Amino acid sequence: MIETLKHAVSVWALFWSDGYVAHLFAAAVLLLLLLKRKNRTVRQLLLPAALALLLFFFPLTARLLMKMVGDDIYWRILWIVPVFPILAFAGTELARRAKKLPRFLLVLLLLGVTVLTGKDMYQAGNYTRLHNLQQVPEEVPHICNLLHTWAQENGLPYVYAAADDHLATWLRIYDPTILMPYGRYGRDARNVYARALHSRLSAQDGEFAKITNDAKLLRCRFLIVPGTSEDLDAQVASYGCPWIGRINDYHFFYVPPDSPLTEIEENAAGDAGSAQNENTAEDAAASPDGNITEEGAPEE
Amino acid sequence: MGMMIRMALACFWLVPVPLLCGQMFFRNRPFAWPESILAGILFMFSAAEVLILPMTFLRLPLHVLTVCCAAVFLAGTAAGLIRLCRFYGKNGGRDSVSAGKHPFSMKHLFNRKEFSWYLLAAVLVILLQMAVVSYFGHFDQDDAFYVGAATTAVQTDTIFEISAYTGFPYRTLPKRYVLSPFPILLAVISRLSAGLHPAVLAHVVYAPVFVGAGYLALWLLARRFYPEEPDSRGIFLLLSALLYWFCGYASRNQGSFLLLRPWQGKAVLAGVLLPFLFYLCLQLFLPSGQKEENEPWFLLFLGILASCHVSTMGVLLAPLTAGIFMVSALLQKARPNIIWRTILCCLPPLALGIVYLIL
Repeated sequence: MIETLKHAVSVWALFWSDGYVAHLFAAAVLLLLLLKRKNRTVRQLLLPAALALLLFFFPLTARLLMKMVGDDIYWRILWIVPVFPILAFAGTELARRAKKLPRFLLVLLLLGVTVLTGKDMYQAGNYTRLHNLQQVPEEVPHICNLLHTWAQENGLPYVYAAADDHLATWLRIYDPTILMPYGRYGRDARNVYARALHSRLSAQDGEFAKITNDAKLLRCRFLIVPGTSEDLDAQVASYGCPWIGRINDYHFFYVPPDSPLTEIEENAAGDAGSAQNENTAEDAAASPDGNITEEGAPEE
Repeated sequence: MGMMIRMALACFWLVPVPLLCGQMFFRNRPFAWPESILAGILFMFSAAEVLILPMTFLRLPLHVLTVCCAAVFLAGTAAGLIRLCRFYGKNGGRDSVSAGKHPFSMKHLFNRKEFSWYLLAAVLVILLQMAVVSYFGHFDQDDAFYVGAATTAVQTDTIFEISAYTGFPYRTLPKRYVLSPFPILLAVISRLSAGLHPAVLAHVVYAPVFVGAGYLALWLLARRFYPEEPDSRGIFLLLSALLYWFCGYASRNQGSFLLLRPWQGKAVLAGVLLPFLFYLCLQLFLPSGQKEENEPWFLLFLGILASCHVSTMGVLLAPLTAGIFMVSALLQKARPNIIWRTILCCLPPLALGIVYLIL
């Protein structure tokens, strides 16, 4: 019980972070209770808010709600507390009785309090000026163009690429024709190799032998490796994946379907062989219609 | 087709269509665009939910869904327009136009009794916010699914058959998302906008539209609290706009959700639908005592269904909101017949909960 209450309190604190809205909210409620408690609208606004907060903090209901939505997103329950309307209402109640000039000054004071106790959305670094209408990171359109151009020039019917978590998030938003072995946070990873490849590329662990091996096992045609190391291109290319280009800190490699076995593959020939079979089986299982070609991509 | 024409088409589906669709819920009542546009949004989301769910399970292609959605939305628009014409036909026609009561007249806004400098300031701040969310980009990784599912649906002409993350067919249906198919509506509107890229539609068109809709819900609350005081309404809206704009210290509250990622279903739930549900619940459960025209109960039903459409959290939060206001009303001696009405309105999330368990 006490643990649940502690968790609810910590969720409340995290919800408002280091802002002062929680304090302002408490002050607004106090003010309304002291000055306007007989007002019908005040009752109509505060009673539902109190019931919502009771549901949120009372250990029994809190436990039940946490079970329903999950501990990690329990903070979303707070969306049903009309905090902002109550704050705006309390501010308006303060100002509305005053005459013209005092009212204007009071409103200015309230706006000043809001500005000083808050943090500007824009200055908090939330917005960026972008030059693509899709509003994806600037390098994403260039990367998609590079991959498609290369695929077209070399007769590849599709683009199947493995990249780090950042690109795994944005590539398919911009261009859904690009296939990937996993998505953001490794979600919908096709198999264990896809999960391993996602972790290695995102962590930039420099294990290029394993990275190229995983990409081959997954039958990706492109490997996008992030990094600033000068010999990165040569290192990856030495595992049978020729370098095809670079955009910012992303290096692009072609993963040929018939590239020679890497050292790791040779060392673990048995595992690799069984993995290849397992991979094919997984691919087939991935498609209810069994429409996965030998190259690992859906048929037209 | 030019990008501007596509954007204009998208605006057509997101502003005039809900505006007129919403009018069909208000009988014998003059045109009131804030309620109408929000009611129209509820209607469109609810219709999309009812159409998308069976089509997902029947594995129908996206273009069939697009045709059905367009037909329903246009039928709603026609119904709203007819109701509006009938009302103004019955109530004076030309006389009402000359008296400034024309449905699209803006005369009353500049009427001395209605005008408020505070309201003007609030509107300017809100317009600035709408311009910022549309013109500038905000990177949110959740887009990988919420926008990715729409781009995937448009590209493959399927509904939740192909993974938004990989482009390969789903091994199992993503049941958490299937019941709240807001990204599929994005795909539908993209198709209806002559193929406007879903990412452009979400980031450039959806964003300002839903930020504006969020403030319309707050405006309705202001109008309820201060029906005869234009200055107080303006102050309320101005304070709300500033409170939202200055909540950059946290990323989880309603304000930051609405201003950072208004194209995502959960932000629409937190910033638009829940405030509108507060308003509807206040109107339906707790009359203000003034002479006013109550909103129809059917809107609460649509509001709860629309909440289920935009986010799985809506399945819980919308009935919870209705329940809280109902208990609050009963504590304030409301008539007990609101209980069964509320229960009826909460049937959609109950049904979706059962479907979720079956899946």
